[in-house]
Amino acid sequence: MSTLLPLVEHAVKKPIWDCRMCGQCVLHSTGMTCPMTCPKQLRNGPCGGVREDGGCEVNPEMRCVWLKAQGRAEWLPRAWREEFDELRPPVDNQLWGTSSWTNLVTGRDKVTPVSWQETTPEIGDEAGKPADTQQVPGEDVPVATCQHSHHQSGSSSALPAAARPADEESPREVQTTVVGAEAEVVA
Amino acid sequence: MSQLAELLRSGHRPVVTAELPVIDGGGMATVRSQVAHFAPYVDGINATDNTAAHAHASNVAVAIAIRQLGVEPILQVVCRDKNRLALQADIMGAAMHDVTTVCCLTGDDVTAGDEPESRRVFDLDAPQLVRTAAGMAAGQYMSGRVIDPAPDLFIGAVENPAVPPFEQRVRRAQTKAAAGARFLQLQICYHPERLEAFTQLAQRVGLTRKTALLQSVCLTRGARGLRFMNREVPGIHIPEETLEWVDNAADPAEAAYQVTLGQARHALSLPGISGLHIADFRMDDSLGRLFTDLGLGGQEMQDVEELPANPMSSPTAGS
Repeated sequence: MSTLLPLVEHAVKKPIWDCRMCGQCVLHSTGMTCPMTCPKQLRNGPCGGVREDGGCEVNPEMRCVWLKAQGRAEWLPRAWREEFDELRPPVDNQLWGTSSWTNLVTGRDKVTPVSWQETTPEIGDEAGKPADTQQVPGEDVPVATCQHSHHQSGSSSALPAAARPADEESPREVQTTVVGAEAEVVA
Repeated sequence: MSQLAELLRSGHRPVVTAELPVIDGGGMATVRSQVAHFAPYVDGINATDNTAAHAHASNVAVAIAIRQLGVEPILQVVCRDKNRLALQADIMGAAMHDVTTVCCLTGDDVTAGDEPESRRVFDLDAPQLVRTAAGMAAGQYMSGRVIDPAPDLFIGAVENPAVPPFEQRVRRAQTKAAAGARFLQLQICYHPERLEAFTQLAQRVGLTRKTALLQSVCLTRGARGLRFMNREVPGIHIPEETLEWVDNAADPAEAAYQVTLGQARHALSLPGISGLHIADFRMDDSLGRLFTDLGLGGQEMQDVEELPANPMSSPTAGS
C-alpha cells in the first residue's frame, strides 16, 4: 500500500495539477494551484520579481503561479480562501515522493518546526520569550495527530493570518497588548 | 536592541538606510571608503547577499566589517543560495559579532545572475525565514534546540509594491509582519500611484502600526542606468515616458537626479512611510545633495542627539 498509493496519487494529480509529489499537499489553500510548480517553490505568495504582464521572473512565458492561485482562490469555499494568506511552514524534505493522502490522514503533513510552535514572533518584548501561550502558525493543525505536537486545541490561531482589515486586533490576547505597545513604533 | 529599532520606535524623523555597493576586491579599504560615503547621512547600511544572483564578498563578512567601522549593519539574508541550516548559522554567526538587524529576502532567481547553472535552493521562502529568525530571537533553532542567551534580533523583510498582484502585496507584507518582521524595505517603485495605493492599504489594515516601511530610491547617472535596471533587475519596471524624459533632457544626469528626488519627496509625503532606503549608483556628491534638498540632516537630525550614541547622528549631513 505504501508503495502503491504514491503511484496512484501521482497518476491522478500529475495531469491535473502538475503535482511534484512533495508529500504535503496544500492545494486547497492555494487556489488549487500547486506552489511547487513555482520555479522558486514559494509556498507563501509571489516573489517580488513578477513581471509587468504577470509573467514569471524565471520563465517569462509562464504566468506567475501565485497570480493564478489568487484568481482561482476566489472560486473556492470560504474556509479554504481564508487559509490563503496563512503562513505555510517549510517543506519537510523527508516527505518527497510519499503520498500526501497518507500524510494527511496521519497528520504528518501538518508538523511545523518546533521553534514555530513554542515561540512567539514578537520580538524585544515580554511576549517574545519562549512562551507559555502557544503560538501556532496555521490554524488548521489537527492537534491530536501531530507528531511533535505541543499544540493545545483551543489555543487560538497565533499568526493571525494576515489580518483582514477588521480583525487586526482580534485574534490573540498576547498580540493585543503588543500591538498596543507598538502602536507608537511607527507613528 | 538595535539602534535602528530605537530610531523607528521614536519616530522623530525619517530613518534612512542605504545599500552598500558590492565588494569584489580591495578588501577593507574598499569597504571603508564606501561606508564613509554613506556614514554621514544614514542610520544603517545593508550588507547585501549575492545581489541579483552574482557572487560577491559574503553578506556576513561585509556586515561585520560595517559594524567594525561603527555603523549599524543590516544583514540581508537571501533564500536562494542556502538551506535552512546555513541560513540559521549565518544569522547566529553574525549576531556573535553584534550584527543583529536582519533583513530576510526570497532573492532573485539564479537565472538573473552570471552563473545561471547554479542550483537554486529556496529551502525556505522569505516569510518562513522571518518566522525562523523570530524563533531564534525567542531562543530556539527551528528544531527546538535552545539558544541561550537568544540573539536580540531586529527582523525585517522586503516587499515590492510595484508589481502584480498588487492587491496581494499588502497581504503578503502582513504575513511577514505576523511572522515577526518589524520593518520592510520596499522595492524601488517608478509608479507613484502604486506606492500610494500600497501605503494607503497598509495603513488601513494596520500594517504600519507594527511594521515600519522604508521606501527604496536609487540614484542613477542617467537614462542608461535606468534602462539597465528596467531590463535586468527583476521586479523593477520603469515607464517609457520616464525613460524618455531623462533621455531627452539637456542634462540627463541632472534629470536622473530629479527623478530620484521626486520619488523620495513623494515617498516621504506618504503617511505610513517611515523613511528611505537608498541605493547609490552615482557615488558622487548627489547623496549629500539629496539630503539637503529633502530637508533631512539639518535641524531635524539634531533630534537624534537625545538617542543613545548613534555614530550616524552627527548633524553634518548636507553641509
